Amino acid sequence: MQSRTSFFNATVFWSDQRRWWPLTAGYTLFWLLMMPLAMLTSLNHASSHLSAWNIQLDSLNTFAISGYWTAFLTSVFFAMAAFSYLANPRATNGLHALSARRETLFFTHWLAGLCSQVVPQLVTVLLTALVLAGRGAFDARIAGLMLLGLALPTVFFYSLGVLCMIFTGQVLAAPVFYGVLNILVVGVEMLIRAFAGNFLYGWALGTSPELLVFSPIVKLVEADVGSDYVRVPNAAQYAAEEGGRIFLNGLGWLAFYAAVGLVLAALAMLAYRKRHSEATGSIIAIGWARPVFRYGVAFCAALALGQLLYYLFFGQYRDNGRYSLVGMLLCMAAAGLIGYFGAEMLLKKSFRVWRSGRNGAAAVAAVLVALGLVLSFDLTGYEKRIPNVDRIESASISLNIYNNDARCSIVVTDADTLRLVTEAHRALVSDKARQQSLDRSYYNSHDQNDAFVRGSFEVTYRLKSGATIRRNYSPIGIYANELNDPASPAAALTALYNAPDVALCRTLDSYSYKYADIDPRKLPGLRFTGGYVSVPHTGENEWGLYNEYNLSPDEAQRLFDALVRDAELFHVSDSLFGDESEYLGEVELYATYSAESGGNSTLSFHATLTAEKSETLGALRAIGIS
Amino acid sequence: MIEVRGLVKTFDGFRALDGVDVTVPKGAIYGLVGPNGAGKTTLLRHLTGVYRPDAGTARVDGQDVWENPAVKVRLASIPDDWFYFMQADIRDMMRYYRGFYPQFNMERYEKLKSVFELNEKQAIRRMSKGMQKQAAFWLAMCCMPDCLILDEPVDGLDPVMRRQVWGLIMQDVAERGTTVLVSSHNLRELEDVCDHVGIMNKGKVLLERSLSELQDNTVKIQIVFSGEPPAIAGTEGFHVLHESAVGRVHTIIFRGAQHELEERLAAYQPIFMEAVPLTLEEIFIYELGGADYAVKDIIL
Repeated sequence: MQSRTSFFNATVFWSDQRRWWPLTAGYTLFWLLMMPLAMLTSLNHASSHLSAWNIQLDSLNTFAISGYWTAFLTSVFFAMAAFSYLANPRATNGLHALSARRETLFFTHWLAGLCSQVVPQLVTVLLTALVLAGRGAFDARIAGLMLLGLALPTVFFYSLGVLCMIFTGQVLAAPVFYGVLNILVVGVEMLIRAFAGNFLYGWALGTSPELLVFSPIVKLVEADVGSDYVRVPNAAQYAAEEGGRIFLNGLGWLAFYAAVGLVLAALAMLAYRKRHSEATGSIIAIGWARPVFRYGVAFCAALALGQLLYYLFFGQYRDNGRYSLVGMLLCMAAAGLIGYFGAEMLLKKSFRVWRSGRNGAAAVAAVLVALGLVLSFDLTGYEKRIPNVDRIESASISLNIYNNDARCSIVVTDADTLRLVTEAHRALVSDKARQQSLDRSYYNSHDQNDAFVRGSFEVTYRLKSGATIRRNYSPIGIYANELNDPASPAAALTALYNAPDVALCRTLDSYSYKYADIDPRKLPGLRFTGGYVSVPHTGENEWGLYNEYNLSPDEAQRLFDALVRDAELFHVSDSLFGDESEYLGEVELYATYSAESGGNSTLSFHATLTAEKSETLGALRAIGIS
Repeated sequence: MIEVRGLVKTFDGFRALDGVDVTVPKGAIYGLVGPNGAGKTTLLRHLTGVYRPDAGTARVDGQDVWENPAVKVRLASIPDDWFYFMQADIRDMMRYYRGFYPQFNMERYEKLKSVFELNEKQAIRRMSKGMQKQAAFWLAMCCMPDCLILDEPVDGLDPVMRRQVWGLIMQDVAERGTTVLVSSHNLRELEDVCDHVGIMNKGKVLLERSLSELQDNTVKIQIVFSGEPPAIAGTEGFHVLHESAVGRVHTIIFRGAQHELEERLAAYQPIFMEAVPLTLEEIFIYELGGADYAVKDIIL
């Protein structure tokens, strides 16, 4: 007699294996073709400079990348096969009438589906290792990493698919839910940002990196899962040094998601225990999830379809300044209602949902309109929220003027510079009405006027409390004739543009993009390795021709010091309205510094040579370049 | 053996079971009768542990059926829509059942081969509905259940096979004391085999009686008087459920014990008097006749 606490039933397990063996066989064949066979071919046709060890390293990379993509694309089918009985009333009743607890059925089906994937993966890795061993290149560490690269994402994506199957009673709904869940958070965040951006001045678009974790496939792509290795210091060659430390980039994320997969499986089992047999055939089989689905679909439809409707009905005229708050609200509400009744039809499996759904639909429309009004009239104070300088830990700013090369991206921490940042921010907020009017007349004739420039300003404050405030103003318009008014955007942004930190950032401009949060003068162990100077020919018919001079490490150091002095002496353009200085050439400097993680990191500095950079020009002359 | 108390089940606001009470004694063959939509199948699904009750209990030998493998292993059921795997043949399903029923009797399985004469290797989905029903019986009987729960069990079987199936069930009841709960919308089919009957309608059990209790308490008497018949209906001491006459032959259905009624009627000096057997259908029609139910819809 079966124990009440048993989680495994061998009859169910082997019955499952017999039932979907073609799926398992196809999956096994896929991996055998992908890996051992491909490996054999690669080894037989490899170029002479690539050793078997290098090929092995590449194969680890292929395993890792194709591992999570294959898991993402195929695991849901195993979940559908394992729990297909939950989409068929006859099968549901038949299995639930048997003498097994729900936990036993769940865990056995879950395990059966997982084994159907992991066992072929194990066979694939073993055969691949065998092929490599035949060439004397077998490495147990790589084989282990290969298996982890395949199995870990499988645990996660399969468990997610199982969770979808438990939550629905329609087998074809499961892959839809599965696909949506994989990008839901990122997608909804984008929609919310786009939605709020319609109403709030300064709303920053883009994706929050911290939210990517909730969209697994996006996160794994972003985490750049694949093979990597530690290079031998100073080794310039591309190929890995045999015996170097191999690791699987993103293994931490794969392990994290596998752990999450186990949690999802546990949640799915709890949901299965609560799931009623009679829910089979329903789009949403768990009672409490039905309103979540109904209102979730309504909300997403309002955000996505609403904005599409607005674009179709009103959006194409926005350039002429006909922004319509009422139109936006109407489109949002209409799309929300479409979503709400659509979800209700799916849940009720009937087109006659008006009577039962009208109250909920009215609530959806009211909430959307209220939300739009709250945002539009900035009742939350979002637009005017500018932190005091004493609350700011740092501010990351990015200022770009489209009409000329005036730009900078830097993280500032100095109190004086932070004050300039908040003043520039405040000036733009105060100028909201005019700035938004400019936004809507993008193609007007002001663009041709030198006394007016257009650009963008983005700021992210990191507060001492740990909070972050992010704003993006794009496009912004700046008038030269307002430079004497200290409260104007022109004056405030120019003051910021000429702050010492910003001036240094602009002097070493390519540096600023990658290492904006590090003061180059304070980099630990900064050591120059070389560089070059590029000077254009000045003769007639010599346009586009340059003389290039290579720099020794010592010369590069001297030029760097000179560029820093120029920055400190403000020998750089001070105007957002164009740089009149004569262009004399470019300087590129290469250096290494001691990275926090240990070892050396490399970086480069780039500077434009102009006549006003007297210190740099003097240093160039001193090393024989004129 | 089987005890259902105050069982309630609601589907999307529709109350399919509305406080059902059922008692099936051990070793009884209990017929559950009712029209389509009465709640019979819903009740049986609670008794097989498929549905979780919203309220009330469904117990076997005092233990809840829901999520109780120790109880469920003693039950075998043949639902109206018996489940089998898409590619499975009878042997596959036999192996599957054997995994769940440790007491599965292979000897009986071999013996019943000759009764059902089905091709074990044929995919069940390729079989006719009647053959699938036979296969379900075959396997259910081999599970050696203490309690057999059958939903429209002989639907789709030919008359010969019906007799054989009922014969097997009766044999199991006689030899092993198996308790049988069988549902049907046709009372006539059950009257030859059941010793207890319950009638369901609109999610309630209207009536539940043992057959002997019913038959001892309801009497149909045909009687002929020499002259004008006396007004028996309404006379004290007679509880007349129904009265009709064809010529001088009066057919009266009484509630009460047969010998007492015959003694009292003898006082009217009838020239002919005979007690005739009542069909189960008639008993229920007259038992429920006054309860404002469309009885004919229920039991025909």
